[in-house]
Amino acid sequence: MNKYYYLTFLTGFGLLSFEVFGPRLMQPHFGQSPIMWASTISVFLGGMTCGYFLGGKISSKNTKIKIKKITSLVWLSISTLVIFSPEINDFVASVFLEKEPTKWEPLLISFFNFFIPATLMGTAFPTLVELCPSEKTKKGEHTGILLAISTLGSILGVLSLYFWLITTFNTSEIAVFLSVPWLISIAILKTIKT
Amino acid sequence: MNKSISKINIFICCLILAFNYPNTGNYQITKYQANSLLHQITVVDEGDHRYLLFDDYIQTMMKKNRPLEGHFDYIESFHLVNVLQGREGTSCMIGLGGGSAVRTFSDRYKEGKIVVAEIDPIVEMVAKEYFGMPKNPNLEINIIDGRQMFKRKGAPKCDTALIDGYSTSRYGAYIPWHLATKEFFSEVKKTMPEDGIIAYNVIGTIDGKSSLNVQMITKTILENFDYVFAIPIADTFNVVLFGFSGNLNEYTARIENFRNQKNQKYPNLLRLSYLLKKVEISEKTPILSDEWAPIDMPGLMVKIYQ
Repeated sequence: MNKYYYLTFLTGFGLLSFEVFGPRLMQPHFGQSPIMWASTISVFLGGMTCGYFLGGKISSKNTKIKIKKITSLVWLSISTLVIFSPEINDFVASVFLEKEPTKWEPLLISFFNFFIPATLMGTAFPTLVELCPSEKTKKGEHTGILLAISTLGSILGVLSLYFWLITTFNTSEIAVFLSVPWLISIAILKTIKT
Repeated sequence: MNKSISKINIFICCLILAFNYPNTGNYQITKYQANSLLHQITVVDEGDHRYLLFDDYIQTMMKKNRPLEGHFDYIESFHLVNVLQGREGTSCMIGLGGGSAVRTFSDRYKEGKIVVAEIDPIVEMVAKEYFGMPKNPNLEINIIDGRQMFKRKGAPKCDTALIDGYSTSRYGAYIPWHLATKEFFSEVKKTMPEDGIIAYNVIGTIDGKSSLNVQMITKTILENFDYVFAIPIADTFNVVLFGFSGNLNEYTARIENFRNQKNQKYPNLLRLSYLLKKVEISEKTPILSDEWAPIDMPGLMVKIYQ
C-alpha cells in the first residue's frame, strides 16, 4: 500500500488525539467547563486554518525533496511540543493564575498552549496531498481518499485516548505517546524515495 | 356464564386497583427550568418539599415553609467539621447547589464566614430565587471553578473546606477529577491552619462494589491529612469523608463532648455523629494525582438510583 496512506493516518491520529487531550491537560489549573472545550477547539481550528494555508504555500513553492525536508522538520517540532506540552501548560498556567480571571482567559490560555502546534499540524495535510503520487486518480478522488484515511486516524486517536490512554497512563506518559505518531511519520517519510 | 364471571373479575380487579392506587395527594409543579452551559436546571415542588435537579439527578431537597429543614443527611453531617474543630471559622465550600449547606451554616454559626465557589451562575441565581439563600454579609459567592478558588492569587483563608462538586452524565454522577487529586488537597490545605478540616462528599459506599471511589479519595486525602473518618449515608448512597491532622485524642474528645451535651438542638447531627468510622483501604488502592485520575471515565462513574 502507498506509504503516504500510513502517513496520512498517523498525522490524523496525532492531530485529533492531541486536540482532545488539551482540555484535560488544562483541567487541573483552570477546571472543567464547556468554555474550556470551546476555546481549545476554536484555537485548534484557527491554528489548523493557518496551517492549511501555510502547508499549501510550502507545497506550491518548493520541490518535493525540499517539501520532505521541511515536513520532517515541522513534524519533529510538533513531537517536541507535544512531549513538553504538560510543562508548557504548567508555565502558561503559572502566569495566568497570578492574574485576575477575565472573560477571555480560556481563549488566551488555549492560544498560548495550542496555537503553534495546531498550526504546524495543519501543514501536514496539504504537503501530503502534494507529495502523494496521484497519476491514476483525479485530484478530487485523490484528496478524498487521503482525507478519509486522515479522518479514520483521528477517530482511532480520540478513541484510544479516552478508552485506553487516560485510564492507563500518566499525563506526561500520554504526552510522550502522542508524539510517537509524528516520530514514526518522520521515519516513514525518510524511507520514501522521491 | 363464563363471560359474566370474567366481567365480574374485571370489575373486582378495577375496584381493587382504584382503592390501592398510591395517591399521595401530592403532585409535582415545575417552578423553574433552564439550560445552563453545564446542566438542565429544574426546580420542582412536590407536597411541602422543593427540589433542585441537575439533569435527572436531585441535588437539593428542602422544606418549602421551613428552608432550614428537609435537607439531605450528607449536608447535615458537614456540620461535624465545626464540632471536630471546636470553633466557628471560615468555611470554604465547593458547589452551591440549592444552598442547603450555606443556609444551615449561616443560621447556626453567626460568627463564621462562608466562602463558596460555584461554577454555574444560573445555579447561584436559582439558589437565591427559589431556595431562600440568606442575605448574610459574611457570605461570599464566587462564580469560579472550585480548584481555581483555592489556587489563584487571592485565595481565601479557610478553617474548614466542604467539597461537594459533582457532575452528571448519562452514565452516572462523577466528581470532576481535578477536584480529587493529591495536588488539589495540598492546595486546599495551604489555605488552612494546622487544625484545618476537610469534608468531602463522595457518592458510593464504604465497602462493596461501589467503594472504589471512596477508597481512592480516602487514600488520596491521607497524602495530605493525618486521619480520614467517614460517615456513610445509606439513604442517598453517599459517604462524607473528614480529613484532619494533629492529635486524634483532641478530636475524639470534642465529638464525645458533643454527644454528651444535654438538650441537643440538632438531633439528626447527633445521630450522624455515631456513624463516624474509619475506612478500610486495600494496599492496591491507587492514589489520585494530576498525572492520573480517571474517575470521570464511564467505568468508574457511580450510577445513582433515585
